[in-house]
Formats: sequence, C-alpha cells, structure tokens
Amino acid sequence: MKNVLLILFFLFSFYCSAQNIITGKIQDANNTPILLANVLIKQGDETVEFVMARQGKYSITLEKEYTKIIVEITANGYISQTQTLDSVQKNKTYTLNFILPIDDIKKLDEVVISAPKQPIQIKGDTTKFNVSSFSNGSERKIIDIIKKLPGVDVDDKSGEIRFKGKPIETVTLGGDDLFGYNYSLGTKNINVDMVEQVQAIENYSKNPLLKGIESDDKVILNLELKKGKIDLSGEINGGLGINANEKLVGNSNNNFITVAKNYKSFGILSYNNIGVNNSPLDYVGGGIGVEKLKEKDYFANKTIPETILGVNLDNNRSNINNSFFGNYDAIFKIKKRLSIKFNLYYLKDNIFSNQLSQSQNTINNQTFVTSDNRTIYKKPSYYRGDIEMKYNTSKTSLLEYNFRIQQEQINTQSNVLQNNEKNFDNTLLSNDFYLKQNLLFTKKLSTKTALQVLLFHSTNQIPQEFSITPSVFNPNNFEKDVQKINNRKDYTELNATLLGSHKGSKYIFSAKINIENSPLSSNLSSRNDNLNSQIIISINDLNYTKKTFSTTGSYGFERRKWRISPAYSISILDQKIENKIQANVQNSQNFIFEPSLTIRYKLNDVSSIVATSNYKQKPNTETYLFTNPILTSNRSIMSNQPNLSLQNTLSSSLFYRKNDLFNQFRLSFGATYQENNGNFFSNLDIEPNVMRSNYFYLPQNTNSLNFSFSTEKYLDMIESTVKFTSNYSISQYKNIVNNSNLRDNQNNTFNNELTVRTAFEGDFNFENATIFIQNNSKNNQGGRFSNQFLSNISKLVYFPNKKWFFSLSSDYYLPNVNKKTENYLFLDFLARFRPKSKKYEFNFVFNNLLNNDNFTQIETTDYSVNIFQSRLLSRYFLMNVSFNF
Amino acid sequence: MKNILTFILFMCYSVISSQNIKIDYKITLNRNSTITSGVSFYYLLLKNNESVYYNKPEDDVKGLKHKDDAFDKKVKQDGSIELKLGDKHSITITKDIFYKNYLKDTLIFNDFLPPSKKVIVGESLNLFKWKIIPKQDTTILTYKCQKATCNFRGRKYVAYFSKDLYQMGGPWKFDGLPGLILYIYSEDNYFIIEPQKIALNQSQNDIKNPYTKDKIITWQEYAKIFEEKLKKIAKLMKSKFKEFDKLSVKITDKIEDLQIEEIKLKIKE
Repeated sequence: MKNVLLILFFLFSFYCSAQNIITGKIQDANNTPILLANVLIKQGDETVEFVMARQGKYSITLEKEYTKIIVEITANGYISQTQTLDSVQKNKTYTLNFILPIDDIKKLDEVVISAPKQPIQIKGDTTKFNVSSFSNGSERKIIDIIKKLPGVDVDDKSGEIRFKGKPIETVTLGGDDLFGYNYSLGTKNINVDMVEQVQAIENYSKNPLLKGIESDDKVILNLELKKGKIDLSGEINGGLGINANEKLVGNSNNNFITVAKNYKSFGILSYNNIGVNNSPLDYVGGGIGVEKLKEKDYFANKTIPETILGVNLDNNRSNINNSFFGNYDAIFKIKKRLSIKFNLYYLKDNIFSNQLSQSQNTINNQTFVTSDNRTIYKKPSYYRGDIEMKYNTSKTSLLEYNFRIQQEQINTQSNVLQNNEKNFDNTLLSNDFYLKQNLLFTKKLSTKTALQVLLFHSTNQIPQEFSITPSVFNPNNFEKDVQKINNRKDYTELNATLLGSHKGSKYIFSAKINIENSPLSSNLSSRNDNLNSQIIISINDLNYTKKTFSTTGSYGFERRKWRISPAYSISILDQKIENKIQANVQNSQNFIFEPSLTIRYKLNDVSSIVATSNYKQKPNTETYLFTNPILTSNRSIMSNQPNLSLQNTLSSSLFYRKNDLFNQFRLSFGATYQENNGNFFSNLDIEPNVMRSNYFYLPQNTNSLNFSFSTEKYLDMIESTVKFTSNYSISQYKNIVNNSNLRDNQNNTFNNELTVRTAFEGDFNFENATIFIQNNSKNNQGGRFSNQFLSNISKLVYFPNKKWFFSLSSDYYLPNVNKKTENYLFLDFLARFRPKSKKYEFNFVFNNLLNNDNFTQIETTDYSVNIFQSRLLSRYFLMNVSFNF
Repeated sequence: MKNILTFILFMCYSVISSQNIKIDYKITLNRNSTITSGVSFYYLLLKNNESVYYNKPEDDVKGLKHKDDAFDKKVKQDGSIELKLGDKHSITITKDIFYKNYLKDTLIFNDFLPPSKKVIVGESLNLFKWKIIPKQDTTILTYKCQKATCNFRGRKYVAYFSKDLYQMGGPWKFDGLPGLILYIYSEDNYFIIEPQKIALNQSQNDIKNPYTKDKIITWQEYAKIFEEKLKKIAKLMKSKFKEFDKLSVKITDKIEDLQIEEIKLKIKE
C-alpha cells in the first residue's frame, strides 16, 4: 500500500509540474493588439518552445519544466521584446504583457538576393561546371578552363581529355557533335567568354537508338553556349610584333560559330609564326592525335619515321613555325529525318629546327660518342574533307554514311653534320593518302534490343622517298643514295552486332569478317644523275594479307554494388606473306581465343575499386615485314626477319578511384601489369657512322609494371587546389647489341608532379607545377645509365580590376640534376587590357624575355645516354588586338 | 463607433507591415519513376497576413528530366499542361496554388483525385510538430537561419528558417516555425526545396484567396475519397485483366502518406 501511494503521488506531482502556463497580451505603443506575433520560450540563445499569437493574445502551456526562461515576442514590423522569468514556480500561471515598438529601420526599399550559381551541379548522368566559377580571368580558350575542372585530365601531347579517368568520345557544341574525335579543334579555339557551362555527360550514346541498350561507359563533354550567343558569334584576332633577330612575327586566329534552327557551324582561319598550334595535328613533337589513335588499324605503317623537331617544353617554344590552318565544320538538318555534316581541313606549315643529338654509347666495355648536327626545314601540307549523313529511315532505324578523303604531304629538307666530320644533305618526301567509307545501319528491334550492321572500307597509301647526298654506300662513284618505298593498306570489314539490355545487364554479340591487304615495295639505290647511272643496293617487293573471322561477346552484369563484365573474342586468323624477291610464301593460320574480365565494386557513390584482366593474341608482323635493308636516316638501316607468330599479351590492373566532386577531392591509385610473350627483338649493330638494326622474333617475355597515384584536393585553409601525381614504371625487355648474347635490360622511370593552384579572392593568384623525373636503364652486362630531371613552372597572375590583367610566368628546367650549372630559365610576360564593352581586347605579349635560344634534354637507353639539343623560338614582343562579335 | 476605430487601426497596421517578400524556390522531386522526376520552380509571395505559393507550368516543362522525349503538348484551360513522354507515359503539370491565411489559420490548395479530378482541400496551418535544433545555425542567401526537424506524413524533414526575414511562412504546406522557411528537404531526398532568389518589396499587388468560389473539402475527406476512387479503379482493372490471378493497387509515389493500405483483389476465384 505504501508503494502504491508513493507511485500515485509521483504521477500526480509530475502531472502538476507540467502545468506552467504563460499568457498575456501583445500590443503596440497605442495599446492596439498586434494581429500576428510569435511567442518564443528561450533558454539562453536557444528557442525551446514557441507558439503563434493571433489578435494580440497568447497562451502557451509549457511542455517541459524550466527554472529560468526568457520569453521573446517577435512580430513583423516591430522590434522584438523580451521578459525573463528567473525562478519559475511549479504549477503556476504567469501573465506577461508586451508592448512592441514599431521598427522604423525596416525600410521598404526593393532588394533582391539571388542564390550564387553553384560551381558544380550533378543531375543524373550530367555534371555541370559553371565556367565563371572556375575562371580566374587568365583563361582565353575553353581548354584553359577544362584543364582546371575537378575530375578532368588533359594530356598535353595528344590533347586527349579524360573525365573520371575515362577518355571522352567527343566535345559537342550545344548537343551537336561537330568535331568527332578531333574535338581539340573546338577546345583549343573557342573563347571562354562564349561558353556558359561545360557539361560532362556519362552513359552517353552517340546513336540515340542505342540509349539504354549500349553498355554505359562512354563520356562526352558538352559546351553549353551563353544565351544570346546565337546566330553568329566569334572572334577576329590579329597581332604583330618583332623578335630578337629583328624579324616580324605575327599571329592571327579567327573563328566563328553560327547557330540557327537547322544549321550549326564552326570555322577557324589562323596564321602564326610564334609556335602556336591551333590544329589537332602535330608535326613538331610527333604526337599522335586522338583520332589517329582510334583509327590506327586502318593506316599503313610509315616505314621511315618523320623527323621529330620538338623538345619536351611547354608553350610551343621549340616550334619555329610558319603555319596556316583552316577548318570548317557544319551540320545541316535538311529534313526532320536527315542531317548532313561536313568537315573541311587545310594546313600548311614550314617548320625550322636546328638540333644537335649526341649519344654516349657504352657497348661491350667500349665507349664512343656519336653526334649529328642537323638543320631541318619540314614542310607539311594537309587537305581533308569529311561527309557524314544520318538518315532516320523510320522511328526505330538509322542509316549513317561516312566518307573521308585526306591527303598529307611532308617535305623535309635537312643538312646533317655527322660526328663533326661528314656532311650530308637529306630529303624526305612522304605522301599519305587516305580514303575511308563506311555505312552503318542500326535497327531497334525492341525497346531493349538493337541490331547494327557495318560495312567499312578504307585505303591508305604512303609512298616515301628519301635521298641522301653524298652517297653513303658508294661515295666514290655515285653522288647520292635514294630510298623509295611504296606502301599501302586496304582494309575491308563487314560486321553485324546485336546489342541488348535485360534487367540491368547489358550484352553485345558480334560477328565480323575483315580483310587487310598490305603490299610493300622498296628500292634502295646509289645514283649519279649526271651520268644517268645507278646501282641497286637493296629491294623489297612483298604482299601481306591478313584475314580474320571473329565473333565477340561481352556481358555487363550489375547487382547492388557489383558490376561484372566478362567478354570474349574467338577468331580465326589467316596470314600470308608473299615475298616476290625471294620467291617464297609464308603462311599461317591461328585459332585465337581472347577472354577478358572487368569487375567493379562500388564502395559508395563516389568511390569504387576496379579490377581488369585480359588476354590478347595478335600478330606484330606488319611492322616487321621487309627482309632486305631499308635506309631510314643518314645513320640507320633497318631490316627484319619476318615472322607470322603471335604475340600473347596478358594484362591486369587493379585501381581504387574516388571522385568526390562536391568536396573537390579526387584520389586514385593502382597498378598495371603487362606481360608479352613472343616479341620482335632488335639486333643492333652500332658503329660511329651507322646503326644497323635487324628485328627478329623470339618466343621470349617482356614485361612492364606500372604503379600510379594521383590525388587532387581543394584545401579551404589555403584557398588552393593541390594536385599530386606520381608514376613508377619498370619495364624489362631483351635485345642484342653488337654481336652480344641476348641481353636482359631494364628501364625504370619515376615521374612526380606537384601542382598548386590558388583561388584567392584578392587580385593576385598563383600557379606552380614542379616535376621530377628519374630515369634508370641497365643491362645484364653491368651497364647502368641514369638521369634525373627537374622542372618548376610557375605563373603569377595579377588582376587589379576588370580591365587589366597581368601574368608573369617563369619556367625553370634542370635537364640533369647532377649538372646544376646547365639550367634553363624562361620568363614570359603578358598584359591584357579589356575596355568595358568587352568587345575588344588588347594583349601585349613578351615571350622568352631572357632570349634562351637552345634547350637540352637527356634520355637514357640500355646502352647509351642521349643528349638532344634543339633551337628555340627567340625572344619576341607581340601586340594583339581581338574583336569579339 | 467601435467599428470605425477598428478600421482606422487596421489601416495603420497595414501601412506599418506592408513589407512583402517574394522567394523563388527550386523544387527537386526524386520520384521512384524517373520519367516524371525532375526540377520545377515555385514562387512564394508573402504580404501582411497572407501568402500564396504557386508555379508556372511552362517553366516546369523545361525542368523535366525527359523533356527531350516529350511530344504532344496540350495547354488546358486552368493553365495546366499535359505532355506525352514516350509510348506509355504521360504527365500533367498542373497549375498549383497554395493559399495561406495566418489570421484565420487556414491553408487551401488544389490537389487531384484519381484518375485526374481536380479538388480543393483545406487544412489548418498548424500541421507540423517542429523541433528546433540548437547550435546548428547557418547562413542562406545572406540570412541567418536556424535548423528544425519534424516528421510529416511519412517523411522526416529538415528545415532552415530565418526570423530576420519574416516571422512566418514557408513553401508548399510547410509552415508553423517562428520565421520564414528558406530551405527544406526530406531526409530520403525525395522532396527538396531550395531558395534561388529573395526579392523584398518588389510586388505591389495584394494577395487574394483564389478559392473563394470553390467547394473545399478537408484532408480527411480527401484521403477517404482517394481510397474509394482507387478501389473503383482496382475493380475496373479487375474486369479488364482476367488472365491475372491477383491484382493490387498501392500508392508508391506520393509526397504525403495518405495512410491507404494496399488494395488487393483476387481475380480468379
């Protein structure tokens, strides 16, 4: 009984204690009730309970027990008032009346506050980057912005853009694919001011019929143009200046975009002799563009490689050019179902280079130095026309036809001083003709399956002529040696593909027949044109055919956090080399099975682990076809022992990737291992005046292992983006040098780059990139060759107001860390003035202020250290005016 | 005499507090059906003791995720837009108006009954049991905001409100905090309302109740009729799809839980 009483008492008292009620009146200074007000019960700054008071009266029953409370009354147009209850007694009703004075300060002016545009928005498959959020005012072309976007990487050499590690397919302009794989045309030339947003679109399907059916790993970038930039817009730009040799320099880059209902086009017309390359082609560094990489199977092998003129320097410093480039791209939507796209290209250049290459060779315990001092004039010209037609034959079918014709001619004249004693005049004339046609028909069979049939044909002819005066082979009787090569490749393919998706899984099955035919003939002779006599040194005449019948299949299976994509390819490969000189035929037939597997595990929305492994078998015959020697430069002669055996490649990789765009944090690391079995190895015979290389096949291994680490983070504390990438690679291969045994060689490269980019609110901003590269090469005969390279590139930007902009960059290079005295410092200065209208812009460019006219780079091989010195563009001053319309 | 005095006082009052606020909100609805998901834009206008929250259907068409697939657009008399998306989907973007009167404590809005009948529903403003979360203040569009949470008809919401801007108000049905709700989202990310623009004293017009001539039903009545209509539809389907064994109708894609259980019917006896 006692217990029950106690409990009852407790309940009763608890109930009582919750009965604090506060009531009162809320009036203005004239004792008029205030119609609407809020009554806030606060403890310190915290609002614990609240109620709305209407018609100037309120009553609040407190839910909890308090000892001290503050009662605050707020109302629109009045100054809030508070009263404090210091010791709240249980079970008591308090009456607190308030009089609120009118808030005179509240003005009735019009004010608008807008949400700032978010730098990044992610909606489904589309990541939108607002250009203005990533601009510090120093950027001129849209590529300068793209480079800064989180998740985006740009390869400076090939121009390839990657988003979240995946190479993009193209860059579209307002959703239209004008450029195809040559998207650098757009990114290098379109002005920052014209673009509102850069959008990265994942799970992209070029063919709208395949949306949702195709496997979803394609990414594109889309440039959303600013509103109002319709009809016709563009830039007219011209600059003139003078260089250190008191010669005129000029730069003009004009481009336009037209946007109309049924028509969109883009055009470029540019000229310069200050080393700027506005085209997707590279005749200086020998870089292969994205398009050529994608289409490399259709091109014949260029037997004599083109002379590489550049050195690894930024800002086109080694491109002493005189280049003219024009391009026009247009899409016409002729009917609702028919659209036609045209692309036209024209390029003409005249590039000068003076280079000294020196090799310190250590072979069989003997050391000797070879050197070549070259003066080169390289004159490439390029013409090309593409037509693409798309015709929707019905709502569920699409017919696409592509046609391309291109002609490239490169004329390289050079004078070589070999080993400081012999002098040669070389001429290399390369023609490259390419014709491609393909017809692709897509039929959507149901909402989840589609069938594609492709008919493809291309032909590529690369005739080359290399002549060297005086004759190397018969200097006494003949004046020159002439190497002629006729090389062609015809490629025909018929392909049928079935694509489908089923409950989150996607599959592709295809059957393909392709025939490649590559005839090659060459003739090396010593000639005397005056006496009209010649002696033939070496000839080749052969035909290589390759026929493949293959079926491939791939399946992408997605469940919860896993995505597993196995794939296979089964083919029958038939190869034949007909050597007409030796009158022999080599034949081989192979049955090839190539499996591959990719597994992705999604840790969360922003990070995943991906493991891939694949096994490939392919012939390397095409590069090593000819038996008899071909002269490829003033000191190198190449020959092969052709072999139809296959190269088996096993490659595996494991990567962790994190792409947290919202927090601007990116981290990826992983390893790739590749092992090749069956290779062509070189048998090198190196003498001071000549290097003979003979390639032969051995069923031996070469392998490479690569570790990479990359991270990027915006650090709020220092208002900067910090990016660090590191790569370590080990490759092992074999060769024979000067009658040695088969040697095992190893190359190690360790590459580190640290970039800091500030995003200060103030007038100054700063960018700095430090690169350190360590190269080690060794062979099993005890030879070791190593080099360490260091560079530091920094840029200081001063943006005092909207009209003026200044930047000063300093590029420092130390080609060999152990030789600190041999360093290079480049200073460049830019001032930009932009009047209020933004229509005009004036640029004052001072490049290479210290007038460095040479640069040296060092490479190591398993038998040598090579020093390569190249002439640079001298100091120049240029004033540029551009008009935006 | 008393009436005249009240009238004069009322005039004084309206001069004092005729400050008005217009807020542009961006609404993200992540529905289970992605085809009708997307972004839409609503506007909240607050003046004196009333507010309206409304959309412009033409704007909303632009925010649809699958707008490029849309064809056959029809603009109806009441301002709503009907769109066909793909072969089997169609969507009607209605013109919505949520009218609130703080003195009368009323909320009146339009909704629909299946299959697509427009109705006007009235509720009290005091629908939410808010809990103010201390020490998590933030600034939204230059205004200092406090955080509050509540459970409302099946979802948990997080709201940010500012008493520096106005003493009440909020987008959609949301209200009842001692300040103006600027930003609110459901914790499952189904329903997100973000402010885009705040304009003070831009509008000259007074707010009028658009539903003075309409028949207004309560929320309870609405839920009841909704359930009845669903049952009717289920029966209609039953008569059409005889080859199936079972038929069930369930609401899966509505912001608010109407507390209607899954309707299950057996077709084959």
